[in-house]
Amino acid sequence: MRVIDLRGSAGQRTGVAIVPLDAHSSDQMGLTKSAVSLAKMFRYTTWFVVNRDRILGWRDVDSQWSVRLDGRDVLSSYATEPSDLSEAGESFLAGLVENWLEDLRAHWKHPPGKVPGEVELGAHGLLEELGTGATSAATP
Amino acid sequence: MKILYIETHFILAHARGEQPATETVLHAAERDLLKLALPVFCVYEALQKHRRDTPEREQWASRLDELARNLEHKKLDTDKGEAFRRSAGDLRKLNDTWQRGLDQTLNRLLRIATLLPLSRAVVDRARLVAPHLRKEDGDPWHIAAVLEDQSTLEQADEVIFLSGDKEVRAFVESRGIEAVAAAEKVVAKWSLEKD
Repeated sequence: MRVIDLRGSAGQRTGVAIVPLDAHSSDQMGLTKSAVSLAKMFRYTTWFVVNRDRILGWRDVDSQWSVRLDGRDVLSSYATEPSDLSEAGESFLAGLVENWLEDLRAHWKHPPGKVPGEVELGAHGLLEELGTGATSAATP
Repeated sequence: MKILYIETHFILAHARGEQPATETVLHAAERDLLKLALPVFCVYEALQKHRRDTPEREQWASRLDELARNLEHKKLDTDKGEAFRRSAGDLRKLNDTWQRGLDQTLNRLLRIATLLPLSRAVVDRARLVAPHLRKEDGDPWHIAAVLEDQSTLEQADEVIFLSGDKEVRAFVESRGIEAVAAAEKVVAKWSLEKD
């Protein structure tokens, strides 16, 4: 698992945890719980857990997730081949997520309001938490 | 009993699918046709090398993605942008493939190979070996772990030490242990089946 560390528009910490699913990590629920524990440990204000099937976002890591997006719907437009997502490991998934975050920030691929998941994130006040897009990958 | 001492390069070559003969050797060991012995230091070294090379490829991929985004955003040369993005994706896929390969190789090796410890005796012997080698890396620890494995060496009918380094092979051969450069030679010498 790796975490992309972001600064929100007000300087708050947002983490995006990349959790690939493969033969060794078929326990989605267990991995999601571990990822949330990590968010608490590293005191992230806002937290996202991404795998190829879903993207969950928390405004408050002590409560239920606030938004749930279909991972394939969101990330497939950043893959050059649709089949790439089925075999996505940690590195490949992280690349798709970085391109998606940059699209939310700079709209390099989709016009404003048309980035996959943008409307849902905005409705839950999570867009500004993804901030300026000054990202750095880190493994806690 | 046939004993094959393997090392870091064997682990990485198998993990990356670079030398089919490594799979033949591993498969033979799983059928008890030979015993593999591996200094624990080499496991550490393989993980270190993998972790050192991975971020470099990630940085290249991020740079290519950035170029692709710029081209696509400005609607300049979208074909080139897609080609950059595809290359970035390929680099990331390579990282994922090699990571999975390394996990699988180590899982198999840790099940069947004898791990040679990095004991005090090994460290002491490595200090004696080091002045005989020109390179400053982990080779003395690797050699020392094997030379300290006396009980196995005495019981074995045939022993081969695998190393891609000519100087290391020469040193080990000077201690009476046959050394070869590649897994292919082990397959040929011991007539292992390729399946």
